[in-house]
Amino acid sequence: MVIDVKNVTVQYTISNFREIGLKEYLIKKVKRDIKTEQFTAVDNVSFSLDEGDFLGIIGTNGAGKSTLLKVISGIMKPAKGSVTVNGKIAALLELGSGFDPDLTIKENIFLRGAMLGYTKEFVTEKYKDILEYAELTEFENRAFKQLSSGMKSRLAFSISCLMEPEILILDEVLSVGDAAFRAKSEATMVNIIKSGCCTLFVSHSLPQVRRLCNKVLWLDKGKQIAFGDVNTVCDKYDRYIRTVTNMQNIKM
Amino acid sequence: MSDKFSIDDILAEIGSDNDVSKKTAKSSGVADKKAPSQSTPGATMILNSIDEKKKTQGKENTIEISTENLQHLKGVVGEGQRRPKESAQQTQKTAEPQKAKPSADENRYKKLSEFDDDEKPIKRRLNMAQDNTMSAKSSKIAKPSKEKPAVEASGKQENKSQTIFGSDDEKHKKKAEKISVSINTSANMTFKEKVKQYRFLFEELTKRDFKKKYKRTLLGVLWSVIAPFLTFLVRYFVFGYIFHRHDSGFVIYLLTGTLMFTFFTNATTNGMFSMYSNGGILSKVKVPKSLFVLSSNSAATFNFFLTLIVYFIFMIICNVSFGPHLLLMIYPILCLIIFNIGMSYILSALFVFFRDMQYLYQIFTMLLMYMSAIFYEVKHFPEELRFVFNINPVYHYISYMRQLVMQSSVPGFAEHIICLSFALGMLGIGYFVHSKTEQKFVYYY
Repeated sequence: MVIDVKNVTVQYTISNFREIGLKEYLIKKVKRDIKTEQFTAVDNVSFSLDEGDFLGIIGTNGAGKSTLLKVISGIMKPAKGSVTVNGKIAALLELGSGFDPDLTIKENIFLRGAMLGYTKEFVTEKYKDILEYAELTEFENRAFKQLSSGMKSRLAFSISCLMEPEILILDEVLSVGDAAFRAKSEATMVNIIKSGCCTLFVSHSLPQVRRLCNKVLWLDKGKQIAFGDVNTVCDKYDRYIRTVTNMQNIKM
Repeated sequence: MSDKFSIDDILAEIGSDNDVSKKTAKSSGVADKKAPSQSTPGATMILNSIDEKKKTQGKENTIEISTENLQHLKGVVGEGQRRPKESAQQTQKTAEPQKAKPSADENRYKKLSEFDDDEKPIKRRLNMAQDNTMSAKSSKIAKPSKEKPAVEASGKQENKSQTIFGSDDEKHKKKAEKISVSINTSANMTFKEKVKQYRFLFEELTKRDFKKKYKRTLLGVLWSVIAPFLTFLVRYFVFGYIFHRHDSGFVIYLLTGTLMFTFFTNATTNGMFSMYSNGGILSKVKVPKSLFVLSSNSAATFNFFLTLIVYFIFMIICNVSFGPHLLLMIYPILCLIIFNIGMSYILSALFVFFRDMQYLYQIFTMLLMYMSAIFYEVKHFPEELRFVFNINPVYHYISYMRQLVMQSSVPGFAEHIICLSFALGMLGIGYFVHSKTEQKFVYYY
């Protein structure tokens, strides 16, 4: 088992002390006026994945998909439950995240490689491939912030995929880039699955999920609605989305 | 909320599709006004109703009841959140959707404070109540729609009950819960490989910090030499020629103090921002957070060594006698580096939570500067006030340096111990504070 998620619950404290400063915090602490409220972003989610599994995570906005990925990649700690991960994670959470806008592409690739836990030799070895795959060779010395958003996502995707991760986490990043790159990236994804890498993938594109994934997890407001075979869950989700859309049409 | 339409609307629409009387829809509207803050059950409910629709095509009667049942359940949940006892009792009596109680909202806060005391019995009762109503209807209702709403209802009950106004209870709860995260990223990695990997990241981060500092400057790194040189030069002239204190060695006294104290403020101020300004990275990639504190400190330390070159130039100008004893300079510098790292750990953690820290810290460093006797000598102070200097670690490092440079003598053994224990103490406290709080950073970026 590569990833084992058991009864994971994530709670934030949404309270009035998050936005205030030190002075008000102290005053309110003295007055005992601090209102804390627990917001449950992920509620009792359990699933497990094996080598070569490709999990699609679907659900409406704010369903807790990204939060769940953050827990799996170890950035957040769950309030309850346990996460067991065996393997090296290459997480790509959101477009252009974890890059430094002021550094050049070259520097960013090395920095990113270092952050993903690779050695200098390995990154140097892979560097050329990454640039070529992302089709950014001529922009090598441009600052990251000067890239177009499509280029940024291409770079991010290339780094994460070409570093031979054992676990790959992609959060809504396959839907950007031009059509040609998208086709290329999907082909790469298929290769990655074949290599036995376990992938977690958030998408709002149901056809894409059906094409790539073999398991699907459906979250809604943090709750696990369904987990299982791709077609069963997707059909269910499709029906749900259609119902909601119909409702909206009627309303209008 | 993800859907624009609340579950009530959707349910009502499904209901009207299946000839449910308008009454249900109306009462759902009432329920909506009753509980604006309450979260909707979401996809499960809709799904169940869809399942219902499929399973019992043509049997409108069943659908009506199931919809009504969901509606009713919702009523229970909504009421239960506010007035758990009464609603639970009412549920046992009646299966009809309940009407709004206008006073409910006003009593809400009071009731909530009573809430945690008898939370458990209420929950049990509520569940029992639901089971009762469910079993009464179960003959007509398919299984999934019976199970899931009940689970959800009780789940919601729990959620709400955690909304407590004091945080003590929460702490107890959290302790009791089992928390475990095990990520064996480096399970099959030797210690050597780990060091190698982190060294690479550390190098890259330090490089980045340094590059960013001199981005878009013509002279680049040279500024690290020029800036202190000019500062020292100004002080040299102002104090040496305008105030005529050139003879007494006051200039080198002043420059030594400035050198050490500037290093302290630069390193700790950089360190303070290190967690927050890297929030974008830290909230997206799993990296050891303390590396960022260390890298910002090492960039500042590198700067300091460049300044040290300038300092040596001024030592020559001021006719300081050079000798092997100056090699001992490394001791107070090392202590100060450790001390800075400890201080940065604390400040960076505090700064994530309170942005006020940057202003407070400015004031604090100013106060500390006067406590470090940079512009004046301690002997001008009355005996009973001198403890102020002795409890200031930075003053110890400065005076160690001064004694080495100006008197060409090595401070006593006790002084060494004091310097080191301040440094290690600060590092210990800093690391403790940082590791205690770092899990929460991600919520504050």
